[in-house]
Amino acid sequence: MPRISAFFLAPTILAGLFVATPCLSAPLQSEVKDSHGHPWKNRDVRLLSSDGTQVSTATTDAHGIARFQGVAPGKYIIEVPGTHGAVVRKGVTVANARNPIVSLVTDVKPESASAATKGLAEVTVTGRRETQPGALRTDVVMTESISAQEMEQIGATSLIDALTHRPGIDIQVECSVCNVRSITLDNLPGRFTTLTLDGVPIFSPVSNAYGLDMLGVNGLERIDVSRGAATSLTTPEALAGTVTLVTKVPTQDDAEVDVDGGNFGYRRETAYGALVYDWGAVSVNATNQSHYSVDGVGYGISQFTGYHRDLAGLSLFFNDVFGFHIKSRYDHIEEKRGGGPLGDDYSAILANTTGNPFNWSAGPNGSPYRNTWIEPSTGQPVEPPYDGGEAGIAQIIFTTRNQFVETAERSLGANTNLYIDFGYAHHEQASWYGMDSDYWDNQHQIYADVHLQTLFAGVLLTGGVAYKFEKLTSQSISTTEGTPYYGILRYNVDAYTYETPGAYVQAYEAFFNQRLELNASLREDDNNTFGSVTTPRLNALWHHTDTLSSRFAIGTGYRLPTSFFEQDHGILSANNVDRSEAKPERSQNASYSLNFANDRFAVTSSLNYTRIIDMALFVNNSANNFVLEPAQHPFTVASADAQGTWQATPSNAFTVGLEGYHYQFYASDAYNAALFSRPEYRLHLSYDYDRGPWDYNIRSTFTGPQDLAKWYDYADNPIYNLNGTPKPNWSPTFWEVDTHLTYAVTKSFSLNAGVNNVFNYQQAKHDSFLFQDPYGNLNVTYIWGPNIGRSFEAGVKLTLQ
Amino acid sequence: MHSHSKGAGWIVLTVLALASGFKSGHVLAANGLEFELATLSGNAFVKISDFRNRAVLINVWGTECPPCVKETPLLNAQSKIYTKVQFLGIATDGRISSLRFAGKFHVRYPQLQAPIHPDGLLRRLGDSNGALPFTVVLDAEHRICASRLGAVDADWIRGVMTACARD
Repeated sequence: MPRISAFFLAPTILAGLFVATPCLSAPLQSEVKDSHGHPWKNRDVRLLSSDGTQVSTATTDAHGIARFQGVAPGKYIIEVPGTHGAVVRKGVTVANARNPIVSLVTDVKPESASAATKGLAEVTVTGRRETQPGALRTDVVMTESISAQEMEQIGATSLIDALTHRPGIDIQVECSVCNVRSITLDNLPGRFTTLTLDGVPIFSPVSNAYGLDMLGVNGLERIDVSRGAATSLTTPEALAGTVTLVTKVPTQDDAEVDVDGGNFGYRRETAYGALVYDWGAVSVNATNQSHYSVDGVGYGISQFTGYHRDLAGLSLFFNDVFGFHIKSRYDHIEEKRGGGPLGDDYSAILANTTGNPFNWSAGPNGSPYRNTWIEPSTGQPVEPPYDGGEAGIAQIIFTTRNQFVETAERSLGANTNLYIDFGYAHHEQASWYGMDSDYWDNQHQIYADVHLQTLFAGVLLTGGVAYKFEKLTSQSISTTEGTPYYGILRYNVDAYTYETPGAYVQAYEAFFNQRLELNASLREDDNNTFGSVTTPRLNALWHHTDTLSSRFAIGTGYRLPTSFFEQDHGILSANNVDRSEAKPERSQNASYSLNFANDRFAVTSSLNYTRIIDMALFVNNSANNFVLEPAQHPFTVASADAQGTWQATPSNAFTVGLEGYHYQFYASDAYNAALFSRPEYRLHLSYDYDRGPWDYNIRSTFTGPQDLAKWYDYADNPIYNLNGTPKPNWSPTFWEVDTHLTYAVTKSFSLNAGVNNVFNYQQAKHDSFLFQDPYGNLNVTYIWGPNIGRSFEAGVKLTLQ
Repeated sequence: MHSHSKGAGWIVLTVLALASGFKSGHVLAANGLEFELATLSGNAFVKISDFRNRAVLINVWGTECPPCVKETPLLNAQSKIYTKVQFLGIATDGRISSLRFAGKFHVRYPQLQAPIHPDGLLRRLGDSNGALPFTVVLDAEHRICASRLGAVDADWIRGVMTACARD
């Protein structure tokens, strides 16, 4: 995971000049010590000219002294490798002995060494390089990073807001009524994206189902995205990649209050406060947020799920506890969400179980009848007409979550650091799915990791052990009439317990004056159900110049398939769930990216190839048993994307992004794996205006066509509109445009306003989310476009520092 | 097996064209370091060559970097003492929060906005690790004369001023 590395271990360079002759040549002596004053032996020290060209190298002797002979007068830089792959440099002027300059740039005399050491010891290396996309030293190699400031500029209030309009990253809605959402990376299925909090993976398929919406951006420093299985050492289950939320470490007393509101009943209040002490810091954050459920076409059935959620968090930061630098965070989250019938009187909705409160004739290709629809196989209205009341189509989910994450770091000498990470999450969900099932689950997750990082012979080595525990228990009652367990309380239909200890090693080294960086790792995990899985990876970063670099990554990942019912609600009504054939899902990933960035122009482009083998399918066999089995054929996504930003003027910047995809898979596999349609290509255009107190931006995405017939396997499972006509084979193209404005009234007070989905494009106005099979059975998971129309929001923010 | 490839092929070509189209740049211009960055206020671009024949002290900072918080008042005070040297700040965080930070310390010397991807600029300045704060001093010919990773102190500034800005 990305590290914020205190520079406690940095060596000190003591450079002195001893002039052998009073003319052109002088021996230069450099003394290298660690922060404790101990000499560093056998270290390679480089002498660079002021333009960075290597002039000479020398190795330190037993006293930590390196000598450079025959150095011409001039300005130089002495460079020595520090810990964690860092490099310590010092400017040196070599001149005539009588030149008073001699003692100035190189005046770190023995008596001032402690001061110099102290100066370095106080450096907090913010990991800036490690927060740059492509940096290889850390155990997760990020490909994109979104700062808190960028989130503020675009008006992002949640993880979902922050990740939209970006090539290779998208948010997928997987249920038009309950709005399960996932993050897709390189257009791979959302469940293959792993979420971590400060690098600790304590989110599961259970918590991700509704959890993404609950993750606010309040109190975050940044969000790191790592596309590709080859980018992650600590999250081997991330077949598509990893999204990491990084908690902000306070550096000064701080208080922020943000209040926003908008149409559709949108309301959000957040507060953040931090106090910094000698021993560390404390920060608290709280969010209260709500939104009405929204129906854009008049069914009386929502496409956008209403919610009310409360989040409260406490973070503690300790500078020195038995030598450990500790960052810890606790969060409590509660959410109530409801989709289907409009409104948030959930008790009344659940009690309304008869009659037809909906209009099935609304929207495109709606039924000719208000109270029923046309059965495709007969061409006649479904009889009897709908009589399930509001509860019949409602999906109401209450969630309570408590999570704790801790990361600790301690120096074990000049070259070695110890890291201890721990995470715990308790997730409870109570849910009512109309005419399907009532469901309650309870999940515990534990994650622990201990690893060492040490610099050995110029190689940064990481070795560690990890333990992951994930247990799901549940109760359910099938409310599907005619199924064997209708109305019967059952326990643990989709339950599982996974215990997975693992061990890993990683080596990092830079070559050719840091032009080439290599990172290789190997991980072995041993799961109680699926046995051992080995996942290697290799990353290479080549700096062609200081403005142009290439990154290549190749690696594998694995994911333990779960029987969590969200993949198919039907399992709660099935006779049995057979897991005997299940295998871990595996990914094989290769990617290449080219990055160019000068002062005003930046281009990032990448080629990605991911193959998923043994993708988990839920097959409903003829005996109404659900069998969790691996796909016989791989699921493959190859993609290319590019994004360029041009700072046209001091205040105007333009961004263009493009991404294209090539998919290979069996349609029946996509159907049984509950995959959702993805576009062939997307185009992104953005404009930013930043001047004086004004910040304004427009972000837009053009989504290309989606092969609905293939993704939803029309050949084997044809689907129809409510008037009995077939659903289209391809989706239309569309634009989504969001815009946001911020005005800083004073240094402490700002106003903001935004419009999302400016052109008001909604799928439901063109092609209903609702569909039916040939026999009139209704479903709600046909999704290819935006589920809410144009929305407005505005707010104020008060910042006190 | 179903297969779809619409839209992807020409993007591959674009990426390959980008890969082959960029020529290797030089770490430094022949006559010294040069860059062009927008001011934090968004009013103008500033180039190093705008300060011809003047030594330049460049301090790269971030709003959430403790040593940056510590050294900023000192740099501000020193900029008033060494008036023959042009002090420049480069903010690596968002514009609004950086303006807030600079305003809090009443920083009087120009503050610039780092590029979207600041890694390359930091490497050109000699900070290949991208660590902050990083201070680099250019002589009057705008060649790198001295640099420091970590918070600067008055002694160090005095030394480099004498060494790098003696003319």
